Formats: sequence, C-alpha cells, structure tokens
Amino acid sequence: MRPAIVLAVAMLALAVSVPFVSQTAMLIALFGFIFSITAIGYNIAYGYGGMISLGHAAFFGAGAYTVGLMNRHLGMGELAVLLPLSMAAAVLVALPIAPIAARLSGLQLATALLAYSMLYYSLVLKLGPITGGSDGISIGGLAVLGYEFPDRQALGLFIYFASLALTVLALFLVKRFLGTVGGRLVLAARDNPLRLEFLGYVPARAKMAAFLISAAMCGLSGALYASALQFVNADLLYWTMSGEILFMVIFGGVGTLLGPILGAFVLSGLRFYIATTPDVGIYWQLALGVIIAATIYSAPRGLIHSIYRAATLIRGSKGGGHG
Amino acid sequence: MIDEVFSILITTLYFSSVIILIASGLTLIYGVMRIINIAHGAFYALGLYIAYTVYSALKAPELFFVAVPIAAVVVGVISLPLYMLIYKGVSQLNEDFQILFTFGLLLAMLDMNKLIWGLNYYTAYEPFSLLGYVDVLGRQFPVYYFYIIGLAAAMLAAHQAVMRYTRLGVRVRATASDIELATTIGINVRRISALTFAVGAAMAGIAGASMLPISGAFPGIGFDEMVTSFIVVAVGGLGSIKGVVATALAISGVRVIAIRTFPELDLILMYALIALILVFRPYGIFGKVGRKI
Repeated sequence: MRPAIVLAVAMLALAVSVPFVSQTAMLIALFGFIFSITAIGYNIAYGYGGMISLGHAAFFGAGAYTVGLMNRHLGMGELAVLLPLSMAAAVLVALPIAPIAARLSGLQLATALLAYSMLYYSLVLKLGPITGGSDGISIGGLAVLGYEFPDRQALGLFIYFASLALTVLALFLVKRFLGTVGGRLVLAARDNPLRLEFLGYVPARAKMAAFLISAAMCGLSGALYASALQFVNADLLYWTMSGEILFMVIFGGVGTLLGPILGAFVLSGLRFYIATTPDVGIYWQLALGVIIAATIYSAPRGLIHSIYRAATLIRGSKGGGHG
Repeated sequence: MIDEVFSILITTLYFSSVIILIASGLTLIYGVMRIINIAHGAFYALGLYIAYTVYSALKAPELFFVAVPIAAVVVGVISLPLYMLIYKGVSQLNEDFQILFTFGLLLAMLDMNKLIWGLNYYTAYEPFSLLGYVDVLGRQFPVYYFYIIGLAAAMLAAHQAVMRYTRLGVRVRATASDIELATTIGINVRRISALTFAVGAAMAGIAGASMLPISGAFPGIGFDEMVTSFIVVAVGGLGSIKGVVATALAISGVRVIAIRTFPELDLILMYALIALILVFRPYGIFGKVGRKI
C-alpha cells in the first residue's frame, strides 16, 4: 500500500506543476483530465454496470450545450452555476432512456442509445436559430464566483485545476461507491441479475442509477470541454464522439479504476499531436483507427493490465495488480 | 391529391432503395458470419470514389452505367484480402470488441480515401441529367430515381432467387443457421463466408457508385450512411433482409412526409421513430427474442 501512496503523491505533484513547466504539456493534460471525467463516467455504465453505449456523446453534448446555450441566450457565464446545471441537463437527457439502458444489453443497447443520441444531434443541427446549427456557438464572458477571467490563459489555468480536482474527486468517489451496498448492487446486476432478483433486489434500479451517474459525469466534462475551448458545435454529439469515448475506456482498461484516465490522456495526446503536426492533421481518423484495431488485437484487457503485469514482473511474484 | 400520394410514394421508394442497397449487404454479412461490420460504410465510400475514377477515365456520361458494375466488382475484390487478413479474427471477438474494432476500421478506411483521392469534392452530375425527367400524373421525377429503385428491386429479387433456388443459396443458408453442422456435412464454410463477405461489400459498392451523380464524392462521406444502415439493420432484426426492407420503407416514409410538413424536423422524427421502435422491440421488428443475435 505504501508505494502506491508515494506514487499517487508524486503523480499529483507532477500534475500540479505541469502548467508552470510547459504550455504544451498543460494543454494535453487539460484535455486529458477533462476526458478522464468523461471516461470515468462512461466506465461506471459500461465497466461496472455492463451497459455498452454508443450514445454517450448525447450526455457529453448536453453538458457542453448547457454552457453554450445559457451563454448565448442569457449571457450567463458563471461556472459555479453552469457546471452543476450541465450535470442536471445530462441527467435530464438520460432519464427517458435510462429504464431501457437498464433492461437491454449488448448490441441492442448500443444501437438503441446510438439512435437516441442521433436524435439530439439532429435536434442541434436542425434548430439552427437556437443552437447555431453546424456553425456552433462561441462562448464568452466566463466567470467563477463573480471573478471574470481576464484572458484565455487564466481561464485555461482555472479549467485545468478544476478538471484535475474533479478527476481526483471522481476517482475517490467511484472507489468509495464500489464498496457501498449501492456499488455492490451495480456489480451484481452486471454479473448475475437473476440471482440478485432472487435475493429481493431490483437489478434494473441499480443499473439505472449507474447509468444516470455516468451521464452526469459526461455532462460535467462536456461543460468543462466547452468552457476550455469557448466553443461548441454539433460534432460533439455525433456518433463518432461516442466511439471515441468507448475507445478511451477499452484502451485503458474496462472496469478498472485508473484505466479510463490512461485512455483519456492517450486520446488527448494523440489529438494534440495530430492537430499540431502539419500535413498529418487530416489523417487523425486513420491514426486513431489503427490504434483502436491494434489495441483490440494486442491488449484487449486494456493498457492498464499490461502495466500491472509489467510491474508485478519487475517486483517479482509477490502481489498482483488491483482493479 | 392522388398526385401528392404518388409523389410521396416515389420519393419514399427512392430513399429506402438507397438504404436497402447498403443495409442488405450489412445484414447478409451478419447473418452468415455474425460479424457486426461498422466498417461497411467504407465500402460504400470506396464504391463512390472508384466509380468516379472509372467514370472520369471513360469520359462519356452514358458509360457511367458501365462504371457502376466495375466499381462494385473492384470493391468486392478489395474486400477479399481484408476478409482473409482481418475479419476472420473479428468473428472470434465478443460483440463489444467487434463494435469498437470495426469502428476503428471504418475511421482508418475512410481516411485512406484521402490518401488516394485527396481532399477534393468530386462531382459527376451528367449521368443524372442524361436520364432526364419523367412525367407522373403531372409531376416531374428524375428518371435516375427509378434507376435506383429498380436496382434495389433487382438486387432483392436476385438475392431471393439465389437463396431459394440454387445449391449455393442452400449452402449459405446452412452456414447461417448452424456453422458447425454445415461443416460436418461437407460445406466449405470458409469459402461461403468469404464469398458472402465479398458480395455484401460489393452491394455497398454498387450503392456508393450509384449515388455518385447525386451526392458526389468527398472526404467524410460514409459516416451518415453507415449510421443509418447500422440502425436499419438493428431495427429490422439482425440478419433479416425482410426487416431491412420494412424498416427502410418505414423510416423513409416518415422522413418524406416530415420533409413536406415540417422540413426542420425530418431527421428528428426519423430518429425518434427508431428509438421508439427499439424501446418496444429491442431485438428488432423481425428479430427473435431470446436468440442471441
């Protein structure tokens, strides 16, 4: 346990110092932490609840568009209001489909959620006068607790530390949650719903709760994403975004605590590299596609498992990895 | 009134024919191999681009209808090594991994079109205008619509004929219903699977090639078509051609009527209908409940 604590403190110190060391590293880590919240949220539904989704872009987008729409129509820029509101909005979007998510599984669920999320994509695209359509919305005048950010730099720094803190908080809460009765119920509902029913519990209720928590976290990260970029557009709700979220979780390690964070940082780093390298930018999907295919062939249990295995090999045979 | 009904009918048939052409290949591949091929949209895009290349080499609008079968054959041929190298392993993966894996393939394959054809927007309207318009009850319809409808109808008929009345069809059906039993009675399951895959890909290739005069070819084409056909296959019931036809007609009908009444809401109503169907029939209209599809 002790080396783990040392490692955690070292990682945290590294994360805190990053913005003061390198601008590039900060940008990668900024979106790394924002996507970490997305991936941890998705992992609650998929990894722990067993509900595969090709529709989480809708919840991510709901959070992002809460910031965009409130900003555009009401001139609202207070993040202390917008961030909780975005979580509520994502839950609201997830609520009608949550009972379905709890009942279906596998391909049927993935498709149902895909269709459901495309409904919101087409809403945003078609209601141009309200949502800005495919042009999107530019966001300005963001503030926190009345303090208005003077420039992009200050805003970026705030979002960075907010995302870092929220990622750590999310990790902590997920770990705690898995130990509680509610968390055990979610895992049991994934592994053996029938037996759970015999014991007098309602598996669907546990799954629904996991699904809504998952949506709320995706909404929160969507709001952070929109605030960091000061821009939203309909692409955030397109089905390929859901595919990228699924990728982060499978790449890092499904149903593990730290895997989603790993996946999020890899996606963020890849996006940054591709976007800033001339002549490569247009081949972003090619790179991602090849990485996805290679991951599933070589490390289907996720990168985190490969790391744990390497660590146990180095330390000798004592102790395995923890999930 | 009657002309309005006809107009809705013809446009619905045209919309659904495009979907049927793409989705029936997808559902055929699933039915025989149990592979959920999200990369199927890439074959559609490939058909479009190859048709453009062949068409621009032929330099005559009439010869476009030669370019279409050529594109389909080329797509089918290209799909074979892909099947041998990549897809054989895919059928061993579980559903979740299949979805992500073939999604990755779709991204990679669609971007590869950029490597070959660049970022240009290619158009080829001449075959469309060449066929001109036809008068139906006082309204004008492009003859090209009827070409697409005829193509889909011919393909469905050919599919039915092969499946029902030929030895090959029997072998394909046997492979689809029980792969182990089919192997034991001496059917070359591998060859049947490879053939089905190539035919399915070629069907998407025909669809793509035929849409060239209407949509043109440009980077990013294939994503929208993929999501529509994937959803249509799932709503119809995986592996069911009948389901594809019924679903394609239903959602096209809703869309056409929506375009005439609330043009802003066409896609929204379409996806709402799909979500609603999946809520009440999660295994699809013709899907069998309980069978792990």
